[in-house]
Amino acid sequence: MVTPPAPGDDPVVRGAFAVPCWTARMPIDVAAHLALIRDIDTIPSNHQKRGEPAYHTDQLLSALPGAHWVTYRAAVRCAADAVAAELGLLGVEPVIYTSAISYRAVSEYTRKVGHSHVAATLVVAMPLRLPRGLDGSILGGTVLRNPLPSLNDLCGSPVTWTTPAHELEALIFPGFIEHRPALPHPETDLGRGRLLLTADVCYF
Amino acid sequence: MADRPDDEDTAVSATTSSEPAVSSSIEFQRHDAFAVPLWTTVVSALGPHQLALVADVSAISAPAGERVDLGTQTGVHWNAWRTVVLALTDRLAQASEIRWRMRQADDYAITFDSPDDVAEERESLESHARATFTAALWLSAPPEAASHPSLSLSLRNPFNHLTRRYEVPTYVHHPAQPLRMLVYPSFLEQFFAVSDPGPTWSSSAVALVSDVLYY
Repeated sequence: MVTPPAPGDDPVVRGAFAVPCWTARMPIDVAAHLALIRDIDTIPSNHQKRGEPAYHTDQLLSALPGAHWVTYRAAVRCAADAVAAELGLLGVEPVIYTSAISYRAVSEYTRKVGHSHVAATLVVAMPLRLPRGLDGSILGGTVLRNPLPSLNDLCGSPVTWTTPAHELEALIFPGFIEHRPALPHPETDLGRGRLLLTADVCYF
Repeated sequence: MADRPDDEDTAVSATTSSEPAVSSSIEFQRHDAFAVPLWTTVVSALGPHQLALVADVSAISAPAGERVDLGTQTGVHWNAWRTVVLALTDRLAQASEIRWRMRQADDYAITFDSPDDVAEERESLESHARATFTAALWLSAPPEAASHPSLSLSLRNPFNHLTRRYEVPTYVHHPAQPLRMLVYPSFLEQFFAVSDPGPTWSSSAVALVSDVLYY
């Protein structure tokens, strides 16, 4: 008869093959912040697409003029380069595609909006405007989906990973990771809505 | 640089490196998501049975480097091995909230008499995907492996093709140290590896492996 392992023999849990992602506070001042929102809110309808997810713009944002856009693009480039330096990806000029995504009503959130930006090396997703009550909450955040959910669920690895959302705090993650917005409570008043800027950064 | 095809109507090019950089570097925090859990422990409870287990495995006629089935082995020492394994995997299954109605285990051993017995990765990479957890114990290891830890049970990153460029390691190694056990999800590909043959081994390395299915 063998006594099962005593508490002192508790197995040590180690995590292997974790997918790295990053959060970074973006250096965008109040004036630039407001100017970015104003520009996006007034984008002509022919540059807005209704589809998945919610309302999103085309590539118009990649070339919009103004000091606030210069600041935004520089911040994205700096943040992506900082991560890329950690990964040893520097040495090639990145190409950056930018778009905005707006959720104006809870009904626009569905679990069907999961998608990936698989062609991008890094996605830099930055909330510009969060509904009252969702700032600092995971319910205002972006839900990343485990790339091997059916296998990992059996052994206790999480199916999804979410970090609390903060305005102007970017979530940076590999483009192959499937993701969707967190689903707020159905009765949440979105007010002026949830607005994000996403940049697909391609080091190729 | 060409525009994306679906953006031809806007005739907008993507941003390139012509944008000025912000003056200060951005501080960022790294998070590790979706790690595959592994468990390691030293199974001291098997210490008193170690010699008997090794003797039984050595008495089975089988080529070095090939698995030998342990299903017919009986005795207090084999009961000890199976009790330890199932005590651990039952705890993991309970913690993982696996709702199982059936549990089945399949045991085998592999002996390596010299580094030459360890096949190349391309010849030996496999998974035990029909099981839930795999428990692998180094029952014995040559002293040279302790001072020159080149022999290991190695696990391969299941999405290496996607994560390699993000500096996620391709392998995790479980070096040959007596009575050290590794438990891992059975879907992971694994193989035995000798990273550097080092000095000649003065004794054999023996690994006990149990595939445990919870269904």
